Amino acid sequence: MGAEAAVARTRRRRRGLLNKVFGCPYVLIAPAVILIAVFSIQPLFFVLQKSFRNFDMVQGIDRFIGLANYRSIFTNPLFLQALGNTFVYMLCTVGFGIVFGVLFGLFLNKRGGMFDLTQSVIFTPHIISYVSISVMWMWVLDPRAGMANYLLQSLGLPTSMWMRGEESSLFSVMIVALWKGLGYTSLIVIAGLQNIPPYIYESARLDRSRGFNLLGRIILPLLSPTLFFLLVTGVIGSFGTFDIINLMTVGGPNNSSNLLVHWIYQTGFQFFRMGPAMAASVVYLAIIAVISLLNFTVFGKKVHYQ
Amino acid sequence: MTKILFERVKKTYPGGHTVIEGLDLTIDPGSFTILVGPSGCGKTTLLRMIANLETITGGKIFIGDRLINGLPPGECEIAMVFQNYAIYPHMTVRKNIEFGLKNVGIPKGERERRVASVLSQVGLGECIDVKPSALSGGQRQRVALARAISKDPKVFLMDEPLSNLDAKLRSQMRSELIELHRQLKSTFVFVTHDQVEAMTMGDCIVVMSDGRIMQKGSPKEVYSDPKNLFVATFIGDPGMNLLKLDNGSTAGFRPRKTRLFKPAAKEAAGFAVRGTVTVKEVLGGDFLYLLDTPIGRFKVKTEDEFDFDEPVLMQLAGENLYYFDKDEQRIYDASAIGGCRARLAEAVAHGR
Repeated sequence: MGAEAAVARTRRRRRGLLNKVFGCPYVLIAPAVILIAVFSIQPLFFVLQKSFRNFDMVQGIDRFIGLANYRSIFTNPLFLQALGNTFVYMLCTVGFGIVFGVLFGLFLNKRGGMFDLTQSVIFTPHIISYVSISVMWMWVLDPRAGMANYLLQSLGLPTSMWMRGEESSLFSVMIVALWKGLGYTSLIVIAGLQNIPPYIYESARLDRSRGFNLLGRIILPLLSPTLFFLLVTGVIGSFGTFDIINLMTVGGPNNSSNLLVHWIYQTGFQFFRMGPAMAASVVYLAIIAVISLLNFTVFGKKVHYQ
Repeated sequence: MTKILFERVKKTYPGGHTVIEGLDLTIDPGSFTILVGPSGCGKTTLLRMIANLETITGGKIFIGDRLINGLPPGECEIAMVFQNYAIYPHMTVRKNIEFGLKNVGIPKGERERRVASVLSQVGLGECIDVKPSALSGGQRQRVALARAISKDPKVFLMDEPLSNLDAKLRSQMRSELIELHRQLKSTFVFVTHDQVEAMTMGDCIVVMSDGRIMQKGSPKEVYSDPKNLFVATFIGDPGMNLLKLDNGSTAGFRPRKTRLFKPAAKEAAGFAVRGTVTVKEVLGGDFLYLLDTPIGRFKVKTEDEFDFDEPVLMQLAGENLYYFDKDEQRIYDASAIGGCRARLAEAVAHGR
C-alpha cells in the first residue's frame, strides 16, 4: 500500500510538472513565435539595417552610407514609375474588384442549380496557378494571333497591343488580375450577404425599400465588415503583386507594367543592387503600414459590426 | 377598422408541399384575432400571406375591399412586428422608424412628429438616437412596435413577437398590446403557439392544425365548447383528459373541472373513480396532479393538496363531460350523448 501510494504521488508530481511546462501559454505559442521571429521579424530588422548601408554580397562590401540608398531610389525614374504603377494597379484592382465582386455576389446570391454551378465556375480561376493563367492570357492577348484582337476586329473595334504596348501593358495585367480575383471576391460577398438575416430583407420590403435604396441603405451598410475585409486584404495583396508581372510582362515593355515588388526583385536579385532594393522594401513596408492605418481610422469607423 | 377575408386560399411551396388548402376565414374589423396552433400548422404562413411575404398559390385575400394578391409587400397598408424584431441594427431608433416613412414620401416635419409621438407611446423617448445594440430585448420589441404604429396601418400583423422575451416581460408586453389595441382600434392579427397568450389577449381565436381551421370563436367558446378533439386537447393548460369508449367515441373532461376527494369521502353526483397520485406539480396557488386510475391516467388541477402515492377519489360531474365521435368531432345529439354516458358509466364501474 505504501509503495503504491508513493508511485501514485510520483505520477501526480510528474503530471503536475508536465502540466506546468506544457500548460504554460508561453510554451504553447513558442513554436509560432519562433517561426515569426526567424522568418519575419529578423529579416525585417536585417533589411531595415542594410537599407542604410552599401551592401554588396558579391563584392563583400558592407559600409554605412546613411540615407544615400533612399535618395537614389527617390531620384530614380524607374522606381518612381513602378511606385506610381503600383498605386494605379492597387486602386483599379481593389476598387473595380470590390465593385464587380458585389455585383456578381448580389446576382449569384440565390439557391438553385444554375446559381450554384455559376458560383463554382467563377471561383475556378482563383484556384488555378498564376503560371497556367498567365500562359492562357498571353495567348488570348497576343496582338497578332490572340482571341481578344480577333473579337475586337470582328466587332469593327480598334485592336490593341495589350501586353506588348507601353500604354496597354498595365491595363492588360489588371484585366487578368481582376478576372482571377472575381470568384474569390464574389464568394466572400455572398457569404457576407447570407450573414444578413432574412427578416431584415423582409422588413425592408415592408418598408417599401427596393433597388438602389435597398442596396445603399440596408445591404451595403450590413455588408460593410465584409467589404472592409476585402479592402484591407485587397490593398495589401495588390501592393505585393509579383507573380503575374514576372510571368506575363516582366515589368515591360520599358518598365510600363513594372510594380514595386517586382522592381525590388529585379534591383536586388538581377542587378545585385541590394542597398536600393532594401531601401525600396522599407518604403514598401511604410506605405502598407500607412495605408492600413488610414483604412482602419477612416473606413474602419464606418463599418457596422452586428 | 378593416376586415380581412380569405377565400379558398392555398399555399404550396416549390417542391409540391401544400401547407394550406382551400382555407376560408374572415377576420372581423377591429378585432384582436389570434392564430394559434402547434408548430407547422400554417399560422405563420397565413400571416405572411396577408403581408405578401409569401406568394399566394391559390385563392384570394382581401384587406377591406382591396384584393392583395400579387401586390408588393409594403403596399398592402399593413405593418408587421416580427419575432426577431427585425429592426435595422446599423440605424438608430429614430432612423429605424423614419426609414419606411421616408420611402413613402412623408415630409420631414410629419416624420419627426410621428417619431416623437410613437416613441412617447411606447415609452422610449429617451432612446431616440440610440442604436439597437444598446437596447434590451424588450426595448427592441417596443422599437419594432413603434415602427409599426408610425405607419398608421389598417392592419397590424404580429408573428410571435413575445417569444424572445422572458416570462415577466412577456406578461407586461401582453397587457401593453391589449391596451394598444384598445387605443388604436385597428385590426390586429397575432400569431402564437402559446395558448395561454391566445386565451388572454384575443377576442377571437382561430385554432389551426395542418393548414386547416379547427375552430374559430371567442376564448370562452373554444375553451368551454370545443368542436373537436384537437381543440379540446390543444386549448387549456393542460389540455382535456381523454378516455376512449368501447363504441369508438371518446369522453373528455377538463383537469380544472375535476374534483379530488379523500377516498373515505361520500361520492357526489356523477362518476367517481379511485386513483393514486403519481406526479404532483406545484403551480403557486394550484397543484397539478397526474393520477393513475383503473381506467387510465388523468391530470387534475386543483387548489387542494394531496401527497405522492396518496389514494384519492376523482369526481367527474356530468355537465363537465364532453363526447367526441369516431371522426373526433364533438357530439351534440342528446341520444348519442346518452349512449356515450352509459358506456362511460360501464367503464367506470368496471374500473372500480
